[in-house]
Amino acid sequence: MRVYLLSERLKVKVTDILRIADKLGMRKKYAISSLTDTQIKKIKAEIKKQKKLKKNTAKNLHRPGHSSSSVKKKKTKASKKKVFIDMGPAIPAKYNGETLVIMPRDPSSIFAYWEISRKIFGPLVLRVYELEKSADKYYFDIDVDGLINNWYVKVPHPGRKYRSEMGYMTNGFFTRILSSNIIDIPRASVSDEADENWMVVKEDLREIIKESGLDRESRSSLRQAQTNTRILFEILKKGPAGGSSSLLIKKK
Amino acid sequence: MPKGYLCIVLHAHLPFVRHPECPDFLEEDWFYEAVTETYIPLLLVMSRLEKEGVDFRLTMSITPPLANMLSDSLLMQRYSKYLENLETLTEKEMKRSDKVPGIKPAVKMYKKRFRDCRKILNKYGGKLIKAFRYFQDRGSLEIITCTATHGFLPLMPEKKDRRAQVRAAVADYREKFGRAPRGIWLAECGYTGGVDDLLAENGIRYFFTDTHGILYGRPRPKYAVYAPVYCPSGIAVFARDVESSMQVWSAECGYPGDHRYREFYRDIGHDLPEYYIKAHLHRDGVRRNVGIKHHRITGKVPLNKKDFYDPAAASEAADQHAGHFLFCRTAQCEHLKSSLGKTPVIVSPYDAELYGHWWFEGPEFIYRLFKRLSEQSIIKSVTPSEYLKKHPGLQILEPSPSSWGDKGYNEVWLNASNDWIYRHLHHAAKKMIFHAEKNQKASGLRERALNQMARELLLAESSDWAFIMTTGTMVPYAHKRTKLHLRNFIELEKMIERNKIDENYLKTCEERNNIFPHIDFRIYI
Repeated sequence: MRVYLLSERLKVKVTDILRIADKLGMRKKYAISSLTDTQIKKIKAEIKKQKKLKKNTAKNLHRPGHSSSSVKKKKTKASKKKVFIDMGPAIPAKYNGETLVIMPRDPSSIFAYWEISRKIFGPLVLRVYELEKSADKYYFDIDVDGLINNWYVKVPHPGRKYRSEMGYMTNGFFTRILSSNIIDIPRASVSDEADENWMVVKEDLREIIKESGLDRESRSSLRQAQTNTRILFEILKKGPAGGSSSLLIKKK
Repeated sequence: MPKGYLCIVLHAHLPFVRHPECPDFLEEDWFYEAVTETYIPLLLVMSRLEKEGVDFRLTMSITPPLANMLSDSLLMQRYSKYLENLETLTEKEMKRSDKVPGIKPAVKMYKKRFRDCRKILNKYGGKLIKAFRYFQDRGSLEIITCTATHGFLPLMPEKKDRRAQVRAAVADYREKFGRAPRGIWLAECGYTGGVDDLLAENGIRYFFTDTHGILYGRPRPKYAVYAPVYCPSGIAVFARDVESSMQVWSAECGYPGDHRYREFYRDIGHDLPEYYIKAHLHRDGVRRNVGIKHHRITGKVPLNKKDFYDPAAASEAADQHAGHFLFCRTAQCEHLKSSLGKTPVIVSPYDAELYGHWWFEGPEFIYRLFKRLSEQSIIKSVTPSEYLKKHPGLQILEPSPSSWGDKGYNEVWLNASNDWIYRHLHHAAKKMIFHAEKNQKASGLRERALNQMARELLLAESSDWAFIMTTGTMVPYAHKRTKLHLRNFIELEKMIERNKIDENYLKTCEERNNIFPHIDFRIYI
């Protein structure tokens, strides 16, 4: 017999029948659409059992001593409709692989995520390397032990290349498990590099920045323009000691 | 000899939203609204200019998802229905305007507008993409492409994954416009080192970055952002001018805030009684914007104190603003030319949907601007290819990784609200590359499944989903779309691995997510 026919006959919802069928282990691999006679008998018996149970619990609730208001509350809570928000189907949380990937977020931070399937013998550590001319210049460690699988890392130098490794510490020794990709961190300032005409360019640039409206902070509603202005001004304001101007002095 | 060049770029993009399974899908309205308020009005402006013999140069990026939607028969049929609804509503409004004379000029304008929409729709047999192609073939419009599904390249570590985004876009462009694209709009202006090599591989000549993409380039740009530069790979880069951007973009001091312009937030979908408006809303009966608005911005007053909209006054305002814009560009170029010793090019990119959808009079502004440009000779409008043809010698520099999103880098698409998507996207990309290489000779059902996997991956990579998660409106839909495409991808991948393809499942995916009908999964090799 088809499930929906049975539901009509017994005046029980299809979903309830399916739930019972599930509970009795009738469903194997695929959803069931029709039932055999013995299965129907079993289901009928189960429905009767459940109805009895319901009656008993209802009686219990109405026993003296229970305040009626609490019963009412429970009822209204149960009858409240849940709003269904479709957030999409489930996707795997893990892929049972081993990966470590880093991505640039802005001139001062990177995002790292990882997945480790093997057993480790010590607290997990994320080691971040700064590169210079495609060789490691120095590194720093971040303690990432625990159930986390991603981290935002502050990095000190905009415009450089970074890579990372993941491993665990045992007796102060680092055992590497994974190695990540190499990324470019964006620059956050005007480049120091220039040719012989460098000074002229700089003068021009300062004027052009003014004319372009980049310095008129009050007028800019664009967040980007503001950031640009701020950063540019910091660089231009810097005296002969720091940043771009030191190059100029050496040349002179 | 002009004193300056003006390059106006309109970036037209919408995510691929198409739900054949539901006759009345809410998010599809994004597309219908944009067609009515932006894409068709822009076409109308161009044909008006053509009729009046005005020589103009406009650059537009029509992203592949949008191009696919504009040539999809189901969506265009549904659009026709959407327009019909507005037409009947306008008839009702005509009757109502006898009692409320204040709305009469606006209602008349809407009536004409919808009639024009219908005309254009009929003229091109519902294939609006042909209309854009027409103006490109005439030489006044330059259409460029974008990454295939508006994928944000700086957050794709796999080179082959990035490359597929470019390849799919170029192939689709050829199909839609009958030639190879000369330029590309990198989604969200997202540039990072190595992207230019992929563009060079695919025959693209130029792209755009935000101001700091060139300003922070290495070595320093000699002419700041007022001349394009070459990447070491020989691809030209144009960068955004800040001043002209702000005049239009800014919420406080930009043109769209003028009190004579139409108020976006007063819509008859919310204003009128239920018995009148209900038939024109979605089936769920929830009040939403229907696209007919009778009020103007008026000033800083509450929504219920707004005055009625006067189309004539609004187009006069658009004309004044076009005059102001041109005046500012003239002054800017004269100054730049004397200090640079070179004719500057001002690059002004905007989201196309800003014109018309958010700023209702935007298309009118464009019309007036080109009209005024044709009446003088100091500033000349130009397309990037035209400029490059005239000025092939440029400075060589390495642009800085950047985007035009908030704060200028990748944070909008990589923060606590959306960082979870990347492990899945990257995993899928790796799998896609692996299976593409392994199954190069696939044919029949297997090939179809691999092609669909490529479609699902590309759709999951749309930067729109991450963007929506950050902005916080319609978030569940963005979650749903990301997971849905990933789930489809994973299921199809399982079938490929087991070499047992469920044709029904595949067919459902193909029918629903039918972007890039002629895709070849080998773009991932």
